[in-house]
Amino acid sequence: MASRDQEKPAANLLRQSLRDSGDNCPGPDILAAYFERSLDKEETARYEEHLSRCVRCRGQVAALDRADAPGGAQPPQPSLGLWLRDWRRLTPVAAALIVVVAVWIARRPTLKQAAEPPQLVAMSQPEQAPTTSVGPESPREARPAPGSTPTAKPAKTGGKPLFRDTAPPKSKEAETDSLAAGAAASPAPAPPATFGGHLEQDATASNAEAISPASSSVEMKNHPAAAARLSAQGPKEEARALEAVDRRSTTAMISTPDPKVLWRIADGGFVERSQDGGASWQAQLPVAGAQPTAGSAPSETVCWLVGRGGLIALTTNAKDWKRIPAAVPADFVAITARDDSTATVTTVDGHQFMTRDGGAHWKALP
Amino acid sequence: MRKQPAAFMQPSTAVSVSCEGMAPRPANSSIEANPAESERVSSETVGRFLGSPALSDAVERCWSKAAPPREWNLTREQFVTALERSTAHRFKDAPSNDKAMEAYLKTLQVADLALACACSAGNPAAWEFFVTQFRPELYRAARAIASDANPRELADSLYADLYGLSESQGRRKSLFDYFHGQSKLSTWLRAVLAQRHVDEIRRSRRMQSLEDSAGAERQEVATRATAAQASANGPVDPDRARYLAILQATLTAALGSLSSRDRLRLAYYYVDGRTLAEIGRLFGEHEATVSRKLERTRQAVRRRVEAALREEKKWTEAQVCLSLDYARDEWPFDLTESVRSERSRLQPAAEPDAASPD
Repeated sequence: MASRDQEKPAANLLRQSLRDSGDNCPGPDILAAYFERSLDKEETARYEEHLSRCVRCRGQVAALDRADAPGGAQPPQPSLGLWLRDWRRLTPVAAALIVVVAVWIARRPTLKQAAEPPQLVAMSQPEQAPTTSVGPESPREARPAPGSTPTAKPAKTGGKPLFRDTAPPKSKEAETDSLAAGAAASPAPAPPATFGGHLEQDATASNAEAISPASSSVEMKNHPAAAARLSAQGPKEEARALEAVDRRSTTAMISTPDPKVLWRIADGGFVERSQDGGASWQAQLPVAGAQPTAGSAPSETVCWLVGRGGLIALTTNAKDWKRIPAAVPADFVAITARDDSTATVTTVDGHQFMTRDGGAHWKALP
Repeated sequence: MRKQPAAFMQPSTAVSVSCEGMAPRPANSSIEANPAESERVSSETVGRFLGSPALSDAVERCWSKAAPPREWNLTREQFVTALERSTAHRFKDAPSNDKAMEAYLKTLQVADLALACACSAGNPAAWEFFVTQFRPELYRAARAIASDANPRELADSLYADLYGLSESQGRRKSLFDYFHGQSKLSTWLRAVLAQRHVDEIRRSRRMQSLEDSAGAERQEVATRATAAQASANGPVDPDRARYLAILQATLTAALGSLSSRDRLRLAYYYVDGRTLAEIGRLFGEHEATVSRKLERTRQAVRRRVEAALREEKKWTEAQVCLSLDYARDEWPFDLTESVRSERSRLQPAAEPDAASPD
């Protein structure tokens, strides 16, 4: 499209044709309803017909847009004190807190296991090659082959990472090891001591964090964390873990405009992406230690995620994730995104916040 | 702790509007909930509200959903009156049926409508709630809208009108009476601010235009001098003015055949000078979508103009090019570029595609 300077003379011609009628201008109720897109189709068409010929009303729409935009005069962030003083909000918030604490207590063993993989990977490699391939395309294959016996012993180390001292394994193990090395090379996230502690850690981040791609994208078939968990546990725990892996394949699906490109949320904080309509999936770890609960993908490469503890994450290239600071440290349960700049998140107690600049600023919706 | 609006007086008496329960009203009666011009509820609307079971259910649902706090002292009758007023306002220009009215009632922001009712009635608890929840946003919006003017004054004047400082026939007149619940109260407040600000700007510009009339005259003299010099360089086509007039009329007709949305998009871009991002925000479209649709609309307009000149006016290719050249001199326009690039093809113009609706 030609630049505006090149087209500047065209405005003269068009101005003469799009004359200002300026009569029968609707009142602020129609203007407000149009701006909110709550007019019905007939009313919208009628108002747009008037708008196209009325400079006065178009100026009002533009002024209303200025008042709504996040730039310029910033909307005051909801004061936590004012927010809490409204007693009508306290009851659902208290209920939500109770639910969150109960879920955390119930899931503590799961969280502990998720924190251990980097050490377990090193422990398992010298003793046993992964005997299973984990992936939704072959969930049955995730179970151990008949006759195979897990031989790895549970890790007894006091916490010192051993993988740096491990000699490069051979053949099949090489691929797993390279992925583990990639994960090790990037700063390994500190395992959250407590769920609350993790919230605190995330809440102090003032800028969006870039997650190293090396630590985030792995092939499902040779997933070191899954393989390590399997080999480090007894048969019963192994079966239970495998069931958990199987269940990972079936949680929240996020569609994109391209029917072949899909995302889905899995356990352990992982999300998976498919480019062939679900035939195969690649797993990613957007934010270590966090569990997304919902997502929205307005394009094939843009995906937003939200979750507990103020989790909001965004990728614009389908692989590199960044953490977006939330307006409030609440549990988010839903998100709708228009593109990589505009999104609306919903907390567990129904409050909504909207951004139009990729999360740099949030506005509480009434 | 009760916050009093700054510099405002407490109303001496609370204004309340009472209705006579659910009894049907006489055919010729009308409810005058508030003495606002053109806000009278027609007896037809009232009768339909009270006589139709479907609408009665819809009204009941609205009341349940609104659930105003007890301390607002808002009666069901007051709320139903507001619903009736809103419905009458919506359907004043069009025939309505129960189904349409029921569907309309479902879309209303009833909680905000209840708050507006209670504030209009002068309830202190409702007003305190409004001050706490909406006043900061009101001032923020005023700063965003009127940053170069006096935003504080803009917000204060609206605040006063909402509270209702004037009285008529013993009743306070509040701007809340004009809120009908078709949008959120916060958006409606911003819309009122926007309208007032724009009207103020236009008023001040009309004052300025009188002072600038001397400048306009000087510019016109310069234009005439330029035209005179141009004509001195060669003979002037006596049909020049006619070509331009026909081109202008053809363009106007082509723009008139566009959908209102496409025409509005053009107006935002070419007349108001909005950016693609701003237009996208107003339409709820991505910037790239706005660009693509603008380009498509421009091409559609160009094709319509060229086809109309050739087929309706029976102009030759040379005449079309000549008129566009004249247009370029008078109002340089990119249509000439497309014509020059297509001239070498020497092909008849294709039938223009109608700009597809959104």
